[in-house]
Order: sequence, then C-alpha cells, then structure tokens
Amino acid sequence: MTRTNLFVDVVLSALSIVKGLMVTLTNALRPRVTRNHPFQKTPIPEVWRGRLVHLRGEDGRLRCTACLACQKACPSHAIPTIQGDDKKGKEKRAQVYVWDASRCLFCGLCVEACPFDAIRLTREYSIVGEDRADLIFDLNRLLGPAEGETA
Amino acid sequence: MTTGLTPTEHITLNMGPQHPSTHGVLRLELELEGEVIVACRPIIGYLHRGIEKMAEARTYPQVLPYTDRLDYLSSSSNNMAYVQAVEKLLGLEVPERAKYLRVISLELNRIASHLVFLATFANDLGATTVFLYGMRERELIMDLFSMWAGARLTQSWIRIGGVGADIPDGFVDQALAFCRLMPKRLDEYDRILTGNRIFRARTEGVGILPPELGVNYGASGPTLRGSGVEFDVRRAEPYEVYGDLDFEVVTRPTCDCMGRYLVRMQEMRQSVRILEQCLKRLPEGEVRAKVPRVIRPPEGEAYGRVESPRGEFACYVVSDGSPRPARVRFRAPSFYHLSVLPRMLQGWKVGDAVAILGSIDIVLGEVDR
Ligand code: SF4
Ligand code: SF4
Repeated sequence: MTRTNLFVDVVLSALSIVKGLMVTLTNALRPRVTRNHPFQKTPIPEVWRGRLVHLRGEDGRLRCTACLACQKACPSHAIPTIQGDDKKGKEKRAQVYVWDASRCLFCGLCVEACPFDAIRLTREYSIVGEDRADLIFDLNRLLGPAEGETA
Repeated sequence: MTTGLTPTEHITLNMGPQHPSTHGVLRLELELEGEVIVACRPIIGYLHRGIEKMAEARTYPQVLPYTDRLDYLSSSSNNMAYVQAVEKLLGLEVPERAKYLRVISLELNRIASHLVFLATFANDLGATTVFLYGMRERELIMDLFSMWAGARLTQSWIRIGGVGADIPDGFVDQALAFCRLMPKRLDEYDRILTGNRIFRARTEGVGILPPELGVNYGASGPTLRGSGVEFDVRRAEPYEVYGDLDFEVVTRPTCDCMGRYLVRMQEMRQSVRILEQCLKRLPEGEVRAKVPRVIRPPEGEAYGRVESPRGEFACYVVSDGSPRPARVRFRAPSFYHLSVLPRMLQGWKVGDAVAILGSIDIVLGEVDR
C-alpha cells in the first residue's frame, strides 16, 4: 500500500468509528428501555398462556364436568388424571384433576377443547418449585385465583 | 532428536458444543495446520428430540406445538409449512383475513429472527453494542406477539384452518408504529456496523460460497441469495397472499459473509414493506375456517414449503386416513447450510470460522429436530 492510500484508509477507518460512536451517543441519551426486574414488573397481556387454573360457575361450583376433552387434546400428556364424582351428565363435577406443569407446552389446546369453558391459561408465568412434585398441580392448587386475576 | 511433531502434522480442535458462537449445541471438529483450517466435520445431534417420530403418535392439531420447537427463532414459518401441508391434504380454503394475518406473523418473525442474526453475528465479531440494539428492537416484536398470541417464541398461532385468534385492539397501530421506527433503526445499524472498518475487514471476501456449490448442496434463503442466486420461495411458489404483495428479492453478488449480512439487512426493510402493505389492506372477516374436531385427512401425501428466515423450510406429511399422520418429515434449511460449511471453511483461519459460521445463521433446533 502506498503512503497516500494508507493515509486515506486510516482517515476513513477513523471516520467510520466516529460515525459509530455518534450512534452510541444518541442511544445513550434515549430513555431507558430495560426494567429493574424483579422489583419492577413487566406488564403481561391478558391473553398470556401461563399457569392453568380452573374456573367456577356462578353457583361457586367447578365448571369442569370431567369430560376428558382437554386430556384428549393435550399433545404432551400434561393432564394425566381426571376423575369425576358419581353424578351423570352436566351435573357431574371433577373431583381429581392433575396438571403437570413440567410437561406442559402452554399451547392452549386444552382450553380450546374444553366445551364448558372450565379452564384457562393465566398471566402467571413464573412457575417454580423446589422439586418435581411441586410442579404437579392438583385441583386444590389449580383453584386458587391466579396472581392478578379474579377467578 | 525427534519431537514427533513435524511442521505438517495436523491438530484436531473441537469448537463446541459449548462454544458461545456455535449458536446452540453444535460441535465442529476442525483439523488445523497451524492456524489454517484444512478440514471440518460438523457433529450434530445434541439437540435431538425425535420430533418427527413424536409426530406419528400425535393427532394433526397436536403436532403443531412441536413444530414451534424446530426453528425456535421463527416458529411461525415452521407452523406455516406444517399447516400448509395439512391444508393441502384436507383441501381446506382459508379465509382471506387469516391469510393476511399469517403473512403479518411470518414477516414479524422474519424481522425478529434477522435481528437475532444481526445481534449474534455482531457480537461474535466483537461488536457487543449492536447485540444490545438488536435485542432491544426484537423486544418490540415480542411485545406484539405476546399481546396477540400470548407467547413470545412458541406461539403456535398459525393453526390448521387459519390463525389462533384475531388480533387485539391496538395491534395494527402498534405494528405500524414499529414499521415506522424500524427503518430508522436499520440506518443506525448501518452507521455503526456496516461501514465499520474492523467489521468489513472480517467479513469482506471471507467464507466464499460459489453459487454452483450452494445450489448443489441445497442451500437456500439469504445464504444462497448472498451468492447472487435469486431464489425465494415467496416468489417462486407464492403461498398465502405473497403473490399480491409488492416486495423485492434481495441478492448480493459477492458470495462472502458481507454479502449474506447485507442480504439480511435489506430483507428486514423488505419485510417492513410487506408488513405495511398487509396492515393497511387487512380485510375484515373470519380468521379461521370450519375444521372438524377430529381431523382425518384422506389418504395421500402433501408437501408444504415456505421461505423461513433461514431458507426453504418444508414439511412433508403422509396421511393414511387415520387421525394421526403416518409420517412427518421436515426439510430444515440450516441442515443444508451446515453440510456446505466444511467447504466454506477450508483454507480460512480459526478466527474466521466464527464469522463464517455466524454468517450462515443456523439454528440447531431445526437441524437436530
Ligand atoms: S397447554 Fe397444551 S400441553 Fe399444556 S395442558 Fe394444555 S394442551 Fe396440554
Ligand atoms: S376442563 Fe373442560 S375439557 Fe377438561 S375435563 Fe373439565 S370440562 Fe372437560
């Protein structure tokens, strides 16, 4: 490389870096886009597909009639057990219902399949436990109103 | 005295599976002479989950959530390829609005995926700032997806017969605002990265993929278009409403890492263009056709192909008339790019391997399946 060429190259390279630094500068002056998690919560949209909950009807009873439609729709056997009481038809109600969060894909196919609108995926996205068993939810734990929801 | 080492002896070096720039769990067995790569053997399979086999034990709608987990950076295109094949089997006609919504979802995903490419590619080459910018803009797309589908990555929102649900109020405005912002941000990336001397030195003329070689190995997408081959499934075999939309197929004749990078940068602008057209033209109506509860396509086979951000993603479905597919096979573009990689790496230094690997933008989720 000749001297002049080298000189031109050095100047152009330096210019390209100055140009880049201008971009970083404008960005440094912009309002901040990150949040101080976990102290500042990110707003989660209503339609979020998080933890599963069971809903109750107006009479306070479970809506779920143990019809097994959700179990059949689930691709990953995340709803291993559903048992109803001994009533028949629409009067029947679930007594045992197990949802395994560790198997769930949060696809929402179960909610779509349910003919009684008995289950919903909620905005609760942080499902943690100390061991595997903590991630297996029985009916008692599925009933509690999820965080930020009125069940 | 002999040391046992002669100057011509080759050293084998493992790059990966935990190397940060292997974009997932990939192992590259490099054979080196000094610092020069003489041979490379990609070793895959670390992320194998047997999705194709699992699909045979699932009903047609149940397969869908699994397709999200192939190319997890653009789950819409995977959904689309599978759904396209199943809809062909069923002979199903999808409502017009759903078609537009699908294209919106696909193009948003394309931008999101290219932004991850930009971010990681820049990061691999030492420009960490760009990584943060790329992720920042991608977050805007993730917000759009969360308010529509309720999930960020694994949306499963392109469903058999249409889309999961209609877009919520405010979605169009927010998406249009994104379309206005994005070109400005792309200009910024160009200023900070594309012209940068170091970035150019590391990418220009590096990792040549001759067009014939690319075609012979089955490369597609930006990797092939960076070698000047004008092939885009959206143009070659338009699906959904791509036939009515106005966009350019971007190519670069340089065949190097820079070419592939520039193709993706330009494609993001084209995607913004497509998005704007779709959002403005969005027709009213249903978003999902009537689909029977149990889907039993007639016996036969169908092939669905889409242009994913990485290339031609396709899905082959064989039906035996039962509610479960007899065979599902995915054509993952990254797999073909990975098989041409050894040819591209030959003769380059170890340091360039990172740039070349980054420039073909692979996702191991779809390679290993
Ligand atoms: S969300 Fe999907 S994986 Fe989870 S329980 Fe429902 S159907 Fe099963
Ligand atoms: S949740 Fe719905 S689909 Fe599942 S058993 Fe109960 S009523 Fe049936």
